[in-house]
Amino acid sequence: MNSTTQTDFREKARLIVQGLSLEEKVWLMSGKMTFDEVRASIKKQSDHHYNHIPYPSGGLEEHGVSPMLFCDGPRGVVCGTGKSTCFPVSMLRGASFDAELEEKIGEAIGREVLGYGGNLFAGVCINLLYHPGWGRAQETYGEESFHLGEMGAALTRGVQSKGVMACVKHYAFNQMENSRFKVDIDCSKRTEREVFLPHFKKCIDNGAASVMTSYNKYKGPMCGHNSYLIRDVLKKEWNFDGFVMSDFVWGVKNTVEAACGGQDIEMCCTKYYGGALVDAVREGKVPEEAIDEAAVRIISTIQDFEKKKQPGDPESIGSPEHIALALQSAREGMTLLKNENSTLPLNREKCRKIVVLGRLAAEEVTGDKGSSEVHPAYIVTPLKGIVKAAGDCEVTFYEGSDLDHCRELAESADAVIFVAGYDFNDEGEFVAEDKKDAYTGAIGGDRKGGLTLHREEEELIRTIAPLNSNSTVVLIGGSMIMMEEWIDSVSSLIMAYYPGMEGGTALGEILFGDVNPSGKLPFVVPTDESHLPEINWDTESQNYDFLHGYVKLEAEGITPRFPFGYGLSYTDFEYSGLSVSQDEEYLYAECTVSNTGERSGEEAVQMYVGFPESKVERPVKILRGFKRISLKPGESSRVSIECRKSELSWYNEVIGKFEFEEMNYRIYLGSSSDNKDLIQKEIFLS
Amino acid sequence: MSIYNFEQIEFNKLQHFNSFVTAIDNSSFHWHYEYELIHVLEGSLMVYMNPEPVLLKKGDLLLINSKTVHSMAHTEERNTCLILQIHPDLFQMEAEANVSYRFHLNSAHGKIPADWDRTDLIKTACRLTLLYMQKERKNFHRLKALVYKIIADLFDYVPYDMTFHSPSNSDDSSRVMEILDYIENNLQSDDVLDRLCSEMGLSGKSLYRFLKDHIGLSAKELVDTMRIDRAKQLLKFTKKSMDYIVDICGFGSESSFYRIFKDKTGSTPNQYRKNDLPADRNPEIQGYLNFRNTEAVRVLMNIVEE
Repeated sequence: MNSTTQTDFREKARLIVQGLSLEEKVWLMSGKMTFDEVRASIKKQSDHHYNHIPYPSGGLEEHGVSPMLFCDGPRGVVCGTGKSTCFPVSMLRGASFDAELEEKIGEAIGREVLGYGGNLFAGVCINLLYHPGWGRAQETYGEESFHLGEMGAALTRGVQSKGVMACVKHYAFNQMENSRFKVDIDCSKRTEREVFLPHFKKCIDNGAASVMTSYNKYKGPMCGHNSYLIRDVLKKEWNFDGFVMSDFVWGVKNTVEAACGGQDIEMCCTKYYGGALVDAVREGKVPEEAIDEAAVRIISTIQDFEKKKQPGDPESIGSPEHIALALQSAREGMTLLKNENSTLPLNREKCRKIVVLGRLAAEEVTGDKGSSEVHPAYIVTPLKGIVKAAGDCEVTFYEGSDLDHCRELAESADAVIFVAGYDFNDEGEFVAEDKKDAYTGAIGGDRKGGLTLHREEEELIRTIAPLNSNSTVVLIGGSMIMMEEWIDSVSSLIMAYYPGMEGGTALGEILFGDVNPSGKLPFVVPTDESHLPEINWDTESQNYDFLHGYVKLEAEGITPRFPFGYGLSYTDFEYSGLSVSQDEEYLYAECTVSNTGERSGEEAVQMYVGFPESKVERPVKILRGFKRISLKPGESSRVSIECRKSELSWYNEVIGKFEFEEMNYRIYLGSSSDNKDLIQKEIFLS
Repeated sequence: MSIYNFEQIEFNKLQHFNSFVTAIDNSSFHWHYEYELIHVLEGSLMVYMNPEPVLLKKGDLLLINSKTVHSMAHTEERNTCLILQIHPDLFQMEAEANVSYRFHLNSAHGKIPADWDRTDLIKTACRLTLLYMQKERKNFHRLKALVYKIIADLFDYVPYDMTFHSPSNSDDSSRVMEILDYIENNLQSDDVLDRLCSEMGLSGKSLYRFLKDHIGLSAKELVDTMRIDRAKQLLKFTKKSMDYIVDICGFGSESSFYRIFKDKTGSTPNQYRKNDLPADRNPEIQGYLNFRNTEAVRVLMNIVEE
């Protein structure tokens, strides 16, 4: 947004603010919902679900300032019932490694927000998956900062191209759920700057209009009051000129601290702002300049977007075009992890009788039922999708609790598909620790009890899968699921995440080969949970290490079960002819990718950069580019990926700046983060 | 007394179910759309069906699923059974067509959920049957409620699976009936199975698997069973000579006829012919014998009041 027009809007906003009373300025700075109303809908005690209409804040119609009208996400637009397009969760979209598609999804979401009369989409959730047990992992794109930044920026651009403000959340260090209201996060400066903040900055650089602060604390103060994060880093260093809002209800807890910390809007009710803020200014506890600054940010941003806003069309909500995007996303994100003896795709001529086992097959597996729940017109369950794709094959479903019966079914079938994993009871938003405050009776929260499947599911797979040589496990879940106990029992494995309203359709198409899978894991799958960073889910303080995820395993020389970026196809791709070059600003890597198999397929080509000569501790290699391509059988294509050299810098804590090292870098291109899947070359970058 | 008078058939159509107490003699292999719940009140009963024959004893509960090929035979003991037949339409809950539910309820084989007390379902079935026997219009909704209670209990407590059939899928049950018809019509030829295979374009192995899957018998066992069935009919209801019976049933030789017959029925053909059997067969219901209502009411009342 740092354009001349925005400067104009700032000037205009200043003029408006000059003519406002203190009360009017403060009025702009808070949400207009009543606590009881929001509380009741969160707890599903009222007829309306959470955010059924856009939640307003501010608005001074007599001064030509529209209210901010908040619509939550990120799985689609939370408003309405039986209407919105329910996209796959962000984690699946992350697995597509398709930023272009994410931008289109952003455009569709933008149109639906407008269709509801909203003007802000608060679904650019880019909290880094520090530990896969995070209850709301499904709302983010994965464990890798660069990848998060690219996907978040794409969604931001898409949403904002329709004149809808994108709100990036939760700023920052919010990757623990159960303790989110009390935990104080600490980490080294390098960890802060190299691991946890770059993706936020990328979204700001891509023009994000708004940022939502998180509930947790960072190095003492709550993030909603945190003047280091809000004033120093976001507004000053990054030149962010939009507005900041708090996470809902408990995101600010002190009038003076929040206002002085740079918090522009208290959402979604008025408690610490409003009259209390007016008084605090009158008493000299909060300088009026802080209020003026917030008011200017709010007015200029809203007015800028009012100008760009396209007309809202309720017909666009859940339109066939948008649903087609949800389907495309599910097709691209589902990740084939194992395919022994080419069990998949299933052959409709040979697999006449298919048995589907597991309760989740017949469930609407779109994910959490917390604030990210989207309410579409219909949801295709995995079972419905399989039946649809099975053609004239016979499909039998059994939920799987009686193993003897499963055995009978599996032995008489040509193929067995297990659908196993999680639902909103196993992971998701955790509203309060008090049992009577929990919404929908769901448990949700972090996966405190471990990252495996349920014991019955593991037993089912271990006992039944070996009885049929065509056995496939389909995993449902928002993040990494441990596989060690059963993976050797099964011939093929698909990670389906929470695949959205058309997820079942995409699953059926992939199982029967109508669609060639192309998703890639946006997280590492270790062989042991102890390989992950240490974390205490119920705590008042937590330290985040510099290393996590695939970077941690690689640094420690631990081989994962599946590497970050890994995913199979029904065809084969070969990489050759790597060349690397540079100019002043960019690093370029180019290679030839050939489809050497017999099917058309898509491939997410990944670029990693290693630092063999660095003078400081660096990861062995980190993702710094990706591109999706599509190749017909026998076809080859030259693929070029570029990356700003500044993104290879490290943060020098002593001088408080990013530093670029002039030295040899190792550039890798290939199909996953495993060196076996990469071709590499060194280049001296200066 | 009901002031309304209407035909029983209409009553059945409206209700989509049928419930009665009977003594079962024999029935050859057949299938029907209705689910059939059998509760043995007295004696015992053999049911031939997938995956293996079942000997039901007093107190047992068996559900034969819709379109499942089966046959029944009495044993040495006389039996009294409660039969409840329910049309599959009453089980439908999905909007989609072509879904069928298969329940796995067979107490004789231990296929009964450990944590479920089946007496409640049995009492409901008895109550339903008692009410049904009154044939009174005022019971209409009560009967329906009781049937739905049974269906709901099946869904809640009994393991079941759902099978989705494509409309173009040839129906396995009709295939089984084709095979049975063929065997029935060609019983006297000793190479009936070879002829069946070439006629249907099946290998011996796939015929074996198909029959095992659907009626729980091998082709050889099936042919023997059907030959015995035919022989029993002829022994009981005709004065045909043993030679004629051996020949027309395709046993090949008198010695194998005696051996197989003794093996399957426990008695020799002559003993069987001499033994008394219920005479008043009701030709309209396959294998069900008329049963005295007063006796049925007594047995059912006992269970309900237990």
